[in-house]
Amino acid sequence: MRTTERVTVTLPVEQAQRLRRLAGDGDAASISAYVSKAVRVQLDKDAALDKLTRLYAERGVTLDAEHHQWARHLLGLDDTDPQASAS
Amino acid sequence: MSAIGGVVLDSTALLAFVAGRPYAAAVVWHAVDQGVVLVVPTAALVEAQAQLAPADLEVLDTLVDLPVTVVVDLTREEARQVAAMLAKAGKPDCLAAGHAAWTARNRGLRVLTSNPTLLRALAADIEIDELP
Repeated sequence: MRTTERVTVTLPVEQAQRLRRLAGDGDAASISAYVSKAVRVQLDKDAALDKLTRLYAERGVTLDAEHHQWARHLLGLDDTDPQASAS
Repeated sequence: MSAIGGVVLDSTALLAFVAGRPYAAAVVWHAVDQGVVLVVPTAALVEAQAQLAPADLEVLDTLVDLPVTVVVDLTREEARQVAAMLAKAGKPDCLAAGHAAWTARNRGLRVLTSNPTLLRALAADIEIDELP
């Protein structure tokens, strides 16, 4: 049973160059492992945020700008870019 | 997930999240969004679980299962140190708060709580953030 699938992606040149430098030997296997890990992390994060969004909606939790600002300040995050979509 | 920093959640913060208090909910949301570690001491988790109905335990599990959440055990050596902290403060029965305070001190992290008075009594040197 096949466990991997070849996917072609297009990256900005600068990102591709950094990727080759950071991904160990810079060969295809190293780059694939690096990208696979990055994708897994992003998928896990998106799944977690989706779960929280549904949980908050189910329980009537509403977050306004004050809540976001307070939380971001507490966590030492940049207050200029909330990136918050929970409501 | 590449984690930056971190914050310890004591039992009152865990219960605030389960209760849907928006400030606690916002902290959890942004921690996940930005990869900030949520540290849950085992004793605090036990104390929170003991106060919840089965349906609410699932809500707490959601928090515990997040990719940024780290549940820290209380080892034999750490138990001795937490016990010393509790004894020094004259609060030998405050295990959950003691584990949270000790974890924050040991890891150099702040604690999120609804009961800052108790944590200050246990460890005046740690950073404490009170939930509004």
